[in-house]
Amino acid sequence: MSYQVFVFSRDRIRGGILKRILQDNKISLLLVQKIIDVKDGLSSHEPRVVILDMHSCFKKEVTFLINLVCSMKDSVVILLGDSATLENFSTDTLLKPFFFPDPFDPEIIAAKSREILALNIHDAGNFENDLKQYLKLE
Amino acid sequence: MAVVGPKGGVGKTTISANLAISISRLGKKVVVVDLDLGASNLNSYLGIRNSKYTLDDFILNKVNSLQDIVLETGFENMGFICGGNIPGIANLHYSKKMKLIRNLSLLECDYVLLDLGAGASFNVVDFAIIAKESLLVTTPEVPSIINTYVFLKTLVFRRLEFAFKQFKNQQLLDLLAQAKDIEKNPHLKKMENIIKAVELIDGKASELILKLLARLKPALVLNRIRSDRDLKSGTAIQNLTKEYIGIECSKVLSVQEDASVGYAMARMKPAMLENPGSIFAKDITKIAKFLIQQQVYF
Repeated sequence: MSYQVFVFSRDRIRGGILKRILQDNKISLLLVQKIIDVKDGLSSHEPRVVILDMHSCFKKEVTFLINLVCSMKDSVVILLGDSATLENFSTDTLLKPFFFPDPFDPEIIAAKSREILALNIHDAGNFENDLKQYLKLE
Repeated sequence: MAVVGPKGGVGKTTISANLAISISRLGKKVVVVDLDLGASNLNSYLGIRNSKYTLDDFILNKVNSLQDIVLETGFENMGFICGGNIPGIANLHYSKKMKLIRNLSLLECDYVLLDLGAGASFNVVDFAIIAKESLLVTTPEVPSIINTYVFLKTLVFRRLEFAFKQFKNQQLLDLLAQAKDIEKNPHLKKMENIIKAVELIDGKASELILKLLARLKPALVLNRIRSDRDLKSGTAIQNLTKEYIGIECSKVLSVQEDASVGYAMARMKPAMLENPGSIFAKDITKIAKFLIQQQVYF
């Protein structure tokens, strides 16, 4: 199944609210609540936006998610949680994730997701060909 | 050094303001000039209110030289020339433009940073031509990349037009005019074919073109980057300019999307000062270091 946004949240209430708000914004998503489902959820289809909620996560789970973020190349990552946990994500990768520290604000997260999806409509592989057509170079 | 943003709203002025601060912090004396003629607002990005002098004073001959209107910014090593807003300044007369260009080269500093207007008008292109380094600011979306390509093509054709006029050969100018209409003359779509056609008319002119093109090496700044995929738009523009315009973008630099920039703007303060540890500030510092290592001096 194809979806635009992947959401991981151990917290049923936060995850549920976010799911509802994203759906209200007509964004297709996959929500998982168990850390073991994260890898499977991302392996079949790399979505444009990955939202990882650190709230209620154990230390090992945070470490796992840090490694995961470092390996993601084509997805934009949005991290949620308390400021202290999010500081662990000061990765050396070229592209840094977006941080939305608590208090939890699903509307802002949905707005950012919508913006990312709207601004990245091109497929990287066809981008150069698209440009040639627009510029009448072909 | 010209900061050019072929499309409005790509973050050109934000980058100019913060880049100037970053260069000055690296110990180089810099003057940042608001040359967004008719739409200047760089002072607000620097938090400078009630500018004592503006470019208007120079254009209206109220001062003798551009140096007289360099304002203090409160940052060590950094001066600022506030843009003008008198009616008609956007369509600066050629003689005024040449006077301005002469005075820019006389400013007492290591770097002159020109914050130019959007678009590919001759006023913008001519200031980019006189700069030793051009930073082309764009975002990774298709409309911005298209405008960047069109700007570069305009810049190259303008430069070639100046060169061909020196040869006083009408055939060369006619050829250039034909190359502008690629639908009618598809064989002149690529620069290598234009050069071949020029060679048939005048061998020395084709040699000159090659020298000019080799010198034009703008750096591309991809602003508001969100993923690796976005960076590929930089590669695309590099490939297209090399294949069709015959120039190479010397470097693709990137500035990541950072919410702290918007917050700083809302407070009318440069993001470099408001949040020096931000991703944006780090990326700007990288660009400043790159430019200084290139040793681009006036």
